[in-house]
Amino acid sequence: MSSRIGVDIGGTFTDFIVYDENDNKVIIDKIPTTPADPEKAVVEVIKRNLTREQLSKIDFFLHGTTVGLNALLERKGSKVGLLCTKGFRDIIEIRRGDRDEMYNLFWQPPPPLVPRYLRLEIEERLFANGDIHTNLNSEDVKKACEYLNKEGINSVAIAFMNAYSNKQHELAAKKILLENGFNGEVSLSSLVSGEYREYERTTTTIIDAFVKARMSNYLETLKNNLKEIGFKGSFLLTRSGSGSMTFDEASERPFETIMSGPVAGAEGAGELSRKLKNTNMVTADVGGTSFDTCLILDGRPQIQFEGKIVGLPLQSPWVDVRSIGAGGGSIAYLDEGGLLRSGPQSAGAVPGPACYGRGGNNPTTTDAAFYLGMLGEGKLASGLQLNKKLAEKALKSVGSKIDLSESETAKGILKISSANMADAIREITIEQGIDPRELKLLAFGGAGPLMSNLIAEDLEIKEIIIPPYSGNFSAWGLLGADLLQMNARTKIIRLSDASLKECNLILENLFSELEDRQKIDFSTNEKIREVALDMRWAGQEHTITLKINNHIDGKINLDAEKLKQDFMQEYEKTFGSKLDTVVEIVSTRASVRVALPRKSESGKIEEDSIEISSKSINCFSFNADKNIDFSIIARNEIKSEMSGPMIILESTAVTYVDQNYNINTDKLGNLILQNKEN
Amino acid sequence: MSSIKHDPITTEIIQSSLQAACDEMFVAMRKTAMSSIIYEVLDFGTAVTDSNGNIAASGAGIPAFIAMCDKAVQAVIKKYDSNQIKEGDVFATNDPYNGGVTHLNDVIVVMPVFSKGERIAWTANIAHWPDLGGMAPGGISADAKEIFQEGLQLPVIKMIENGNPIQSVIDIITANSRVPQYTLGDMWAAIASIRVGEKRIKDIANKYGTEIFKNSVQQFMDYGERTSLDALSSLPHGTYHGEDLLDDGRKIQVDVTINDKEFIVDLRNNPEQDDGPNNASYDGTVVSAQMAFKGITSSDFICNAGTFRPLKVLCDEGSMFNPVRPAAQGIYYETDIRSYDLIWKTISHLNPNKSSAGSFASICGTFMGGQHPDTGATFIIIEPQVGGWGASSVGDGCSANFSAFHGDTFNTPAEISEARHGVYVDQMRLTDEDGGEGKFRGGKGIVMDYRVRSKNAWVSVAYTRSKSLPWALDGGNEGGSNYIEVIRKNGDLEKYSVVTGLTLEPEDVVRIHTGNGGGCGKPELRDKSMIEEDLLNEYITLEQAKKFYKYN
Repeated sequence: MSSRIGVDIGGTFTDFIVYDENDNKVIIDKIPTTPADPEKAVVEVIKRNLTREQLSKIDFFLHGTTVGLNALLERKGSKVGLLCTKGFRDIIEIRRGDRDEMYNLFWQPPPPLVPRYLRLEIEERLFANGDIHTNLNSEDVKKACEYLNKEGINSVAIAFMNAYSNKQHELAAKKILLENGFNGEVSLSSLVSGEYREYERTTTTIIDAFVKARMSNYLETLKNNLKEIGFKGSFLLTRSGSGSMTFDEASERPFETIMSGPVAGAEGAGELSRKLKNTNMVTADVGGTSFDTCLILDGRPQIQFEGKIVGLPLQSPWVDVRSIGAGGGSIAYLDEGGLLRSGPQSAGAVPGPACYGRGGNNPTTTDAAFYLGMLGEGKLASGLQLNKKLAEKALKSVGSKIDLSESETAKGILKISSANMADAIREITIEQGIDPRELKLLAFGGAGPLMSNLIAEDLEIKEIIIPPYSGNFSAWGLLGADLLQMNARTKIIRLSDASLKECNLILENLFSELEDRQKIDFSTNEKIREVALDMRWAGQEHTITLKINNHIDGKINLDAEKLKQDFMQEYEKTFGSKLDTVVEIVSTRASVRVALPRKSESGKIEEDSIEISSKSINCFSFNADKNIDFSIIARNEIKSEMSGPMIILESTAVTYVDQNYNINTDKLGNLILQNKEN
Repeated sequence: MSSIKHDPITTEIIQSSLQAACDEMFVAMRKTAMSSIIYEVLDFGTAVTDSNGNIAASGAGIPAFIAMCDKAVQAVIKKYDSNQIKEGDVFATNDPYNGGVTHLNDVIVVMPVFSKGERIAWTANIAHWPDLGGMAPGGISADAKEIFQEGLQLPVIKMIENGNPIQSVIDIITANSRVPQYTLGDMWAAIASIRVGEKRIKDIANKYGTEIFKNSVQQFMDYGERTSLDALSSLPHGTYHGEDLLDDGRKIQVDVTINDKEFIVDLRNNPEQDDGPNNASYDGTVVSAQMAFKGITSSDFICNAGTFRPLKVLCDEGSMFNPVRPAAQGIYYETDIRSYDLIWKTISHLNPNKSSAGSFASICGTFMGGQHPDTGATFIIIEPQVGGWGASSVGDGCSANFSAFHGDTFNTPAEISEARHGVYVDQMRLTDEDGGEGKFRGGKGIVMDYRVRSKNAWVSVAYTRSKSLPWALDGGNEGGSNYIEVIRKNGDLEKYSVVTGLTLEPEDVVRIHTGNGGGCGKPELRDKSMIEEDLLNEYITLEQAKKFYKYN
């Protein structure tokens, strides 16, 4: 049994999907996000779709959220204090001394997350190998504790020099804090990352401390609320680096979830691509507030290690999704020079676009599209009837200042926002030397299918895929996420048969730490251990990560010579040159993948039927550059090849198909838009 | 073969592919190098040129390295007939008088890229190799009088033919290095890097066709030129004169003339070439002018041979900015940054929105060596230092940043210095010294301690802006000074800004100080709340607040 719910919270909408394995039935829904208390919308959308009885039979709740990311972006996290080694309180201000924009001679780094007066130096010191040089001065920690309490600090990061090689001092300092009346959260660098480089590790620890209270409160509240309405299954949250983790683990390691929000869509795209024989594609996920894009090659999104977020390093893996502030709710305005601009300000769900009639006065992308006819008659699945007069008024408020008619203004808004979106895609394709013309565009999110023609046109992409439940595709992506945990330790070991034994001891430790972290409350018969080693030639600094397939339950089953050969081969493959000297193992990596019970793949996905009042509409064609008649059709009525112009309605999205596209569905229920002109 | 027609998108993709190739070369070098100056500090650069050696694209990293590789390629083309340049060949030069631009430690390796039998491009890599002999370990000595004392010269030689290493060349390099394992490791890393680029470019040319490839590269250079010309037309035209002092009290000066078509940097009438190593080749001086030019015209990433077409640089032969053989050039980088800083001081106020006070503006190259106390292995630390940048007319300066010569450059984490070199880092913090006070403060310099743990260790430094300090603007205070202190085990204290091969004993401490940037505006005009915030965060002491800011 593996019935499951996916809920993905975006800036504007909270998307819901439930998949019942017994009857293959899928229900989707969308509800405005409640930014102040995001859990409220989650509870509401579940309650209005499932009875208590139905909910009690669901096994998994899978979740993606931007709570942590928003706390960081808006700098609205905990007031954090830092305990650091004496002589090193400025590590986060000195950074690595680099300049993000190398020709910009006025460049400034983002301000440090912990101001200098809250960075407290503690006498203690470890050698690089973990031996103690100077004992921890407990008086220093006690004084720091007093100061932190006086300053009203509710979260502390402890990051000591060389703590990657020995946790002892950090653990002891935490103990002293707790014994002396500190009752906030404590993050330890040695638990956040077992890898060296003090600036990166310290910053990651601070980010963890910064978002922890907010994240764990949120997860706790959400959990309690869902239990109250009858949910009895397991709670899982998407990790930034793909896969998912339990709520309990996420509360303790929130830095691993910072990029959780947009990852679900990328993971879903990966799953879809694998079903389509690893079709290479680029995603266009357009929600109410943001546009997210991700490159899918060989069936997988791209994973980055050592990420950077708002200029701060994060020593943690993450899926490479780029976001810009452009969505259906993005507000159009005139800049100082009188040029029309769109975003990143969004009208959000409240008041929402002007045409929603909820008090919004500013023209948004949705207003522009609706005014041009691209949203059909404008009757939303929720029953809301969009108001054309209000859209017109809002467009006029901006257009009249620069002598543009309402329709010219509307076209301008759509062209500008689609150009911004295309630019973001350029960044992850053309700028990496990848030709977007060889990719397919996977468009989803509430406004993705609406914008897809314009984006594809800009990039000369010939084929567009609109997945089933396109408006809720990110939530669908959540459903497939396995539980994944990773752990690593830096310890430099010269490769020999004897030292491999040491390596296996480290692995034993890493796996047992993972077991402790795991706290799984569901049964599974697929629990896979994975081992990898970061290796290099002695003398080098950087390593390549070699996945070790030959291991027995996490214990390496290779002799040193064979391992060296494997490394040599991988090295040559990566760098094209051959060396043969001493090999070092730098970091040992352990991960455990706990597969959720598989989703059944048998059922064909059925779209709900949609009631359509009018069969056609006079709508603007960007291809013809004039208004023409577009037919209006429900998505589930497309059974064979048809031709644009056409507006396709489904419950949570609208697809705009210009006259230069043919359209069909494939076996998986995807809509395929093919440009006729090539 | 793709059937894609030649169009603006193809041009853009080819250009971006070249950029991506440079970045890949950069990553390959970083990941396979043996010396921390390369893998952490990233003291190297990668580039792609067209078949004639005009820069087409370059990797991230050090702005000062971008336009260096092209000169080496041009030197190869000048020296060798085209039938001597074959697929799979690798050439090297480190001779500043002959395409090498900088000093003998920076070795440029280049290889031609062929597509269907035609040479269409070159890939190049410049990197600081740790030791190629010379009178002092690490090659650079403030005492050098002639280039012969600075190490092995590689005057545009072929080191690999048709993919096969020429063993005798490699033997010579091996025999001339104090740390051959590191030097050879870095050499192979450099070769791996240009090979990665070669492969990538071949793929691009095969995909789009040789003609379209060549054409796109030229079009993008024209685009670079147009961008520069546009910027020149928006700058106030005229001739601007600027002066500065060297630490030894000598004056340097420049006239910069800006018109619609040209940007002329006239560095004539400057001090004669130095008896020591404080000279920079003409090519190096051109690079300084290119950086200042780029800084005032456009901060975007596009930077190719076209970008610099409007730039002219004039220097007297035999001067410190254009010396003649056999002048030593080991500390070329401090000479280059002096000419760069002089030009920047002269033109930075032309930016209508922002002007800036002077920065710590020294590479602060720090060289240390010795034996690892645990393993006994020889180590050499070679690293630049971060310091304070000047305040601007709109805000405080940036603290603890590398000089303008560096960009995507990273300091060596203390944890890595300790693990690899066996030194001990006692502290790494912002300085408390005076300097740079103003309505907007200069950014802060740093204090960093290296404690030596083994016998027979040594340190060499050559810092500038030690006596002649970063300039202030509008009534602010000058910035601080760059220097080191050596604190002996018995407590004796020595102070240097230039020293070579100073012997260190276990428990001696080398304390690095870098200066604050210059201030902008009178200190007493600083907002009281900003002063109080500085006090809370201990960026200034109460004494400093009273003394400079009239705080009470």
